[in-house]
Amino acid sequence: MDERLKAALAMVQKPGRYTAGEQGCVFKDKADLDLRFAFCFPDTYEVGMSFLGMKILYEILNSYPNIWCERAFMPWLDMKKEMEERNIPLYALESKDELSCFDMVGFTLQYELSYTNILAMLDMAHIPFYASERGDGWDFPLIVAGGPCVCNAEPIADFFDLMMLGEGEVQLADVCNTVIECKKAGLSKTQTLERLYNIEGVYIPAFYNLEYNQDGTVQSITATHGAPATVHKAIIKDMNKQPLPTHFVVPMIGAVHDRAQVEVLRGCVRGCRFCQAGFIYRPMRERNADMLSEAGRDLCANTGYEEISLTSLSTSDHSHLEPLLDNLLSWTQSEHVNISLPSLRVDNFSSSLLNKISKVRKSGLTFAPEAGTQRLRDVINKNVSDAEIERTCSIAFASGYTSVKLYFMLGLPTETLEDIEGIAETAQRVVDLYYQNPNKPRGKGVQVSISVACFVPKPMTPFQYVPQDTQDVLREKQKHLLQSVKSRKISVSYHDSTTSFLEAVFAKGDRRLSKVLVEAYHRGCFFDSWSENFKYDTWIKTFEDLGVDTAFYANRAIPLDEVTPWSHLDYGVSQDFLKAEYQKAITAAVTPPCNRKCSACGANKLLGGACFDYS
Amino acid sequence: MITVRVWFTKVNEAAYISLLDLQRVMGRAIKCSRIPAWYSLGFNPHLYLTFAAPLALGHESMVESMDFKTEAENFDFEKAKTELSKVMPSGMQVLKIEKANMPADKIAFAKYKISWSDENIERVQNAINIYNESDSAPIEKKTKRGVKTIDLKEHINSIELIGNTAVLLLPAGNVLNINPELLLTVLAKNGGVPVEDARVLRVALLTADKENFS
Repeated sequence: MDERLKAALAMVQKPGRYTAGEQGCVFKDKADLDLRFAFCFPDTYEVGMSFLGMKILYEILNSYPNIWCERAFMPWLDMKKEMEERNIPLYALESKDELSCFDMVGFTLQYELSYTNILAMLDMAHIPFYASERGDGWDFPLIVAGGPCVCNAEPIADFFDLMMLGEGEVQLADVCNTVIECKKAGLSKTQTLERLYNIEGVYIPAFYNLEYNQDGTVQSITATHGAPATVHKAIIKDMNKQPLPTHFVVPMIGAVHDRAQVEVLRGCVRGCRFCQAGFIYRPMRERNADMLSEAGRDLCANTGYEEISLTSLSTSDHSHLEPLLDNLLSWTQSEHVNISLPSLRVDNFSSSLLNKISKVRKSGLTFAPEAGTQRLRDVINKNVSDAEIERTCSIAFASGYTSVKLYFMLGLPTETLEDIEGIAETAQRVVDLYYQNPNKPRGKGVQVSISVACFVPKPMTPFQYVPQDTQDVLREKQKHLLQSVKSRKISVSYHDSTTSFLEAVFAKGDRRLSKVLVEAYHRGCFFDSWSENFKYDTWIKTFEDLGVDTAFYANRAIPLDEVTPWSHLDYGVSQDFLKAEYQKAITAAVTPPCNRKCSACGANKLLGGACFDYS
Repeated sequence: MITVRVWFTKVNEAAYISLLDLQRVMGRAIKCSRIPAWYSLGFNPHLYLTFAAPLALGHESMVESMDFKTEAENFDFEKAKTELSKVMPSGMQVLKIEKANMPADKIAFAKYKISWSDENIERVQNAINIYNESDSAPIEKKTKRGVKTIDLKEHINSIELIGNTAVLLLPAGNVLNINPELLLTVLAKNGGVPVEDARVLRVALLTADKENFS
């Protein structure tokens, strides 16, 4: 490490964020390499090191002897200042080489409020923001992106040479190997990109022209350079043929999720209409219990982790969850490993399942009914009934749990004041249930926490057509909820509506927002998802100064026949299905989970046949 | 049950692992190495690891030690060293694993090598001259019970700069522990260089009789 960096590290909080050398961290001899890839997570080390996707792709890319994948994170405020004052450009942790000398710099797009951090990282690496400013040679790295927000990352599309839709396990390695070939063959950047779009899911933003109507809506999106008119996401057809990572880089300073993770399934059968992940990761594909248990055991042995998490969008939907737990429990106890199940659902929660988890550790229980009344839950297709919520809480209380956390959303389509009162009533019923339980622990009260987020309509969901409630309305609703809560056993926390609003603008934004991001960054906006650095007034002023109407993006209903900025991107689920689901939503009609009945969303074309055996 | 003492370095990247994090890092390393370390009994069995004379964040050391207990008969120290070496983070090299000889409270002093870069050395020499000629060097030291002022001259009368390096022997016991940064702060005030421009390397842990702690 050079002296300037050591001096900077002496000045900042948690210097371990910036040094690497963790167990599992990969070092290579630069002489053996054909391609250097910097995997960038546009948030802090602790957040980024919790992210499973990075661990998966780090292991896959580094399995190629001629590719070295390293990591970079967004330096925290103090370190950014030190680096700028000491002229230290942003570097990758492993080699400490600056990002601008890499062949590829890849960002993962996990949430909209990290977009300004991407600009901050490029800026700190002395890389021009716009792809068009980086020339057609190889003076700068190829700047690429993947992750869920790629399904409409149009607001930042102009900054990237290439984006990747869908699952990266096969696709990213293909992209890297093609870049190696093209560079060896002496091709220009454009010539290379013209080859790359043949890889499934590869989207070259510069190869698509957008025309706009007078009213600001998109008129047409036209592919150029022979690129496909529609980009289809990449998918792993059989998860049982895709090995799990077994060598995590183990962070030395506590990450947010600092544990072994095995991904039990990908996708989700539920079809909750607000949930972007539920649509863009379709169809649901499971891994078998033996494979999972074995990978988990290897992972714990290689990392020394004492906690293993069964990760997915809805782990209790795994068709062999209990055998999987039995399989895991056969070794976890003797190895001093705890099992945690992060995403349980109210409707298939059994007492034997609960027993298996509580063999290890008893903590609070968390459920997400999302809406306060049955009608509204039907609108959002969260197929959970009051009876099921009550049954689950009864089981939990009978086994000694004393705190329950319930997640809800405010501002859902068709919501009325009655639905909001329903949130308070649901929590109250849970409190009452506790006191009806004859075996409740003596002298111990119950604590029901309700956490209320503001609904953000997301692209690629049936609610993409829906306007977000204005902030005034959301604040009124929050007030109404607080007034409806009568018991002191219930605590209410809610999200700041200003960040949800900004999220809504960028979630459904188009390419005209790139200049707003650049200007806001220049005015000091980054780390927007961190309240200590969120500058709402600066954002609003920037939109006004640049003449961009935020309500057009966040608070406008999109007609079903409008061309959306993301209509050239295909995640398997058809636009017709999204429209039909939206129309069913308004009438509070539900759609069954895919493993029970196929609703013909279109995603089965990705597998080339039915997603489930319905016989 | 015996107490096993692991001696290791903590240099380069590893200098930035805090004590709290070091506990976790070494706990995982012991687990990965499958060394037969003793786990506490009870509902949540865990390893007991103790670290002698914790090092300040950012300082380097050639003499870090960590103790754990084992119930294994004929504990294989060489094998433990081989296995643990395979799973240590960068900058942490296992030097020796042996049966603990002295209890950690025998540590009374630590020896540090402080070094500066060529471009700073003239300013540092001037600051050291001022220190050596002064009658007292009061500095505020934060303790658990509040801030108190100590006179560094009582502990280090003069500093000798050889090349770019000064060697310091400072109290490092339970009763009194002086972080070399206190001295660096005084030197910075004497017109030297900022504290962060000096490199601190701990090279020995000594008993009250100036014997090597073992």
